[in-house]
Amino acid sequence: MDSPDSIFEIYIRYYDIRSLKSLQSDGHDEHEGKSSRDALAQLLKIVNLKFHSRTSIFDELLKLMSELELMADFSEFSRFYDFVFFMCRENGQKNITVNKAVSAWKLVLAGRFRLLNQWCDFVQENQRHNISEDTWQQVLAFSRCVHENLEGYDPEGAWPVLIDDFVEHMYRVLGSNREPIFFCNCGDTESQSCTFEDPLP
Amino acid sequence: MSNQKKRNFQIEAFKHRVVVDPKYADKTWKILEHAIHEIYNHNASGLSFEELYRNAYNMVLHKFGEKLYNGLVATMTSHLREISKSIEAAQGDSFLEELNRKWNDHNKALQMIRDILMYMDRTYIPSTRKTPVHELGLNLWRDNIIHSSKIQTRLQNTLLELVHRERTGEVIDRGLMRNIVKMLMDLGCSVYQEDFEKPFLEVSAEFYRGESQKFIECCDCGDYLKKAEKRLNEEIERVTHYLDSKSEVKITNVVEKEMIANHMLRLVHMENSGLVNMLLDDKYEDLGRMYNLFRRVPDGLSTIREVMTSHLRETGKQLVTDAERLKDPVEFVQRLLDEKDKYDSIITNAFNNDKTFQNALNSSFEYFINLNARSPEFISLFVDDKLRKGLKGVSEEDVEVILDKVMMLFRYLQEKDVFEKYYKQHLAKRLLSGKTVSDDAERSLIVKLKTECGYQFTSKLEGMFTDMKTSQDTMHGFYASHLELGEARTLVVQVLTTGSWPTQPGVTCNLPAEMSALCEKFRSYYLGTHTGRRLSWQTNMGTADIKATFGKGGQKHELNVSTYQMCVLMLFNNAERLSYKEIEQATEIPAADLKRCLQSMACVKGKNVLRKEPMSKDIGEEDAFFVNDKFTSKFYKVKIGTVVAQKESEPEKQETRQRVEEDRKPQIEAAIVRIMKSRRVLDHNNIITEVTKQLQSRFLANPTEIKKRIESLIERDFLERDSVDRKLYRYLA
Repeated sequence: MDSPDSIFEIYIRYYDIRSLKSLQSDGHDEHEGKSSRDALAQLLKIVNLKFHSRTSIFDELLKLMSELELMADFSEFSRFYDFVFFMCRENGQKNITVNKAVSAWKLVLAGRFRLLNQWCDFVQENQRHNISEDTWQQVLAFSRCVHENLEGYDPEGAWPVLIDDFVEHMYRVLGSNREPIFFCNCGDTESQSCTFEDPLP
Repeated sequence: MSNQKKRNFQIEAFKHRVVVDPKYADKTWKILEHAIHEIYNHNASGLSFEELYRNAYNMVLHKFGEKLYNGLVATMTSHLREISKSIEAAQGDSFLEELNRKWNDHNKALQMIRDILMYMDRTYIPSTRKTPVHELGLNLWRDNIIHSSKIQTRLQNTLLELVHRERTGEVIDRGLMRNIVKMLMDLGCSVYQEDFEKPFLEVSAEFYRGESQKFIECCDCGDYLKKAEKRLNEEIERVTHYLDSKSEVKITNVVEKEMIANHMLRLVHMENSGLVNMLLDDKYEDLGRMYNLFRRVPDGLSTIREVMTSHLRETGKQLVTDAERLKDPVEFVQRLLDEKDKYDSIITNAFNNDKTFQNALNSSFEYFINLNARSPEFISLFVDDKLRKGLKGVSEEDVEVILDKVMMLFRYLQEKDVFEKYYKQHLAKRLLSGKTVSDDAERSLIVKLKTECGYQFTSKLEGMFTDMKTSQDTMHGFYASHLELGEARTLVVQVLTTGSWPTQPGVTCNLPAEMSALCEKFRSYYLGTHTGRRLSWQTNMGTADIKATFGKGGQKHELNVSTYQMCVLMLFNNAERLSYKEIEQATEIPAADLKRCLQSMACVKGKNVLRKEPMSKDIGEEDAFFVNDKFTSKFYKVKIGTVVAQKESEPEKQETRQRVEEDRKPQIEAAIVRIMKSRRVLDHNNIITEVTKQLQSRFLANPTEIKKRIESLIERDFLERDSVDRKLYRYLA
């Protein structure tokens, strides 16, 4: 296996492994599932060797982001979103640190999540454990179905506890201050107008 | 002859010249009419039944049936008109008597007339579809007497008046009533219903509406119910005496509606005498009456049940949250038991052992017992109290009764695992201090817990008993192999299996030299017989008996102390005065325990074997201690208790709580995995429900905690989210 050099190549390799996995009857074949997991682990090793400092990863991701057709194609974005988590994993660990997760969210969800700032602040302040892949993925789902007044949130909706806690926190904030105090100031004014509600692929 | 023979014979029909007397019909009818007159005039004895029957027969035969029938109708009608007049003329009370008499006469006459006209009844009437004689007689009676304008209302009023008089306490002629009502029934269902029953029910409703209004204004609830019950019984009795049995349901319905259903809520909530007061005062009789009466009306029992439930919940809530009551756990539980007993006997004695009431009672207890998070601890303390001292001199059956009651409270607990935790702690203390009164009682309770919650719940507890037994054998073996130690057992060791006993932070204090030597001997003996084990001393749990001589008088006492206290006291064999710091250094007893231990020996009156400078209630770090030479006691043996809070202190409580939460995690995970293993794919809400259900027998799982466990299982690749529906989880083998 020749080692990929640029982030593009890594992304394509990641893409291949992932689509291979999803092709195999829902990824339930134990053996195949294991081999794709191994392939990802291998890939991760290469990534860890290539990108040492945190900042360089985000720079690279930003570069990749500008090249991909993320605005039009949600499934593409969703894959990229998962890829970001993958890139943030360190030393073969399954979860990523809070700091890394928050920086990554600010990067990738800018303009796509109306409560992004509140969310990042909340996580930074309250979450002591690392962020798991499930939580990472659910945040995307959450960002797509919830409005800034928390409409669309279903308490029985199988959200990770961190998201439940966040909503509760927001209710408290909302309760104490009747005025809708937040607006999506995600810095990226261009993408403000992007479609929040594009239907699931 | 032949001519003659050939003659055609003609047989002529027999022509009986019936000489029909043109007046025959009239004449015959006259005879019969006369007879009917005679019958009505009580002169029938002179009549020849045979002759009359023949005449009637002939009339029908000669096609005068119609004349006969019409004649009968006309004659009977005219007689009935006469009778009607005489009935109308009857004054006052004789009205009904007259009616009854005439009715009897009419019936007798009708009987005779029917006999005479039997042939007509059998042939003419069926073929012409006319009304048979008997029925005709009744119809004519109905139309001419009962429905005559002057009689109909008078009869109705008279009957209703009589019922009213009876209701107000007068004695009436029930026989006469019965006959008249029977007459109405004989005249047909509709006559009874239209002319009597309907107005009777209306009048009754009005009567009871008024009466119940009057009663409810002036009676208390118990009296009212008594009166209602009496009225109800009276009406039932009335029906058996003189009404149609089918009327019973109707009239009782009226009484039930007017006297009970319409006033139900007011009765139940009546101030100072309503349901709540009855419950408070254990008025079984009144409660039973209420139950039986309310049972008859729609929503009656549910009304009682709801009021009882809300009262029970309210008082129960006060019981378990009243800060004053929380001071004494034994009293707290005893009150709960008393409350349960009280309501059990109410349901048995007054509520017919009604299952729905029992369920209401159970759910109420379940509700309020769990309002107080300390209930599990307190119930365990109650058992502890009973098994320590309370059961002395109590018969075995009584012990069982008490334990069964405790189990009943236990069943109400949602957090059974918390109870288990405390029970383990308390049992450990009992076993180690040898304070348990009855081994049988202890085991009996374990068996009960086992049947209630299964093997895993009690396996640790049973392990504790096994350890105690094994330790005895071990000690026996130890002294048998160390004969030089003599008969007196200076050291008794209980070897406890780690995990079976409540975990204690393993701080070992410094034992006195005399002790350590012995302990070492035991250690090498034990490890010699059991390879691969580790022993650590739990000095915080032991006790010691030491002999002490005080002052110049040389007063001797035997002191029963804890291991910590023993360690402190032994120091004074070699020193007059010791500062707090010195003691702490020498013994290495944890500060909190040391303070408690010194306090119990220097500050408790009657047990102050030590003297402290300066004198004060609390132990300071700068204090100094001496042997109290002036110590005296009436008893040779002095037991020095440690100042221990029986109830857990706040931090201890937190700690136990945390341990409980920690222990729940693997149990929740196990439940999730079990469920997912069998279901493979399940949605979020169902998994929460199923897990909660599965764990219900031990504790009420917190949904957030279940979620956290699911997340953790996803992280560890036991589960995954479905890639399309994010609320669906899949089990990964």
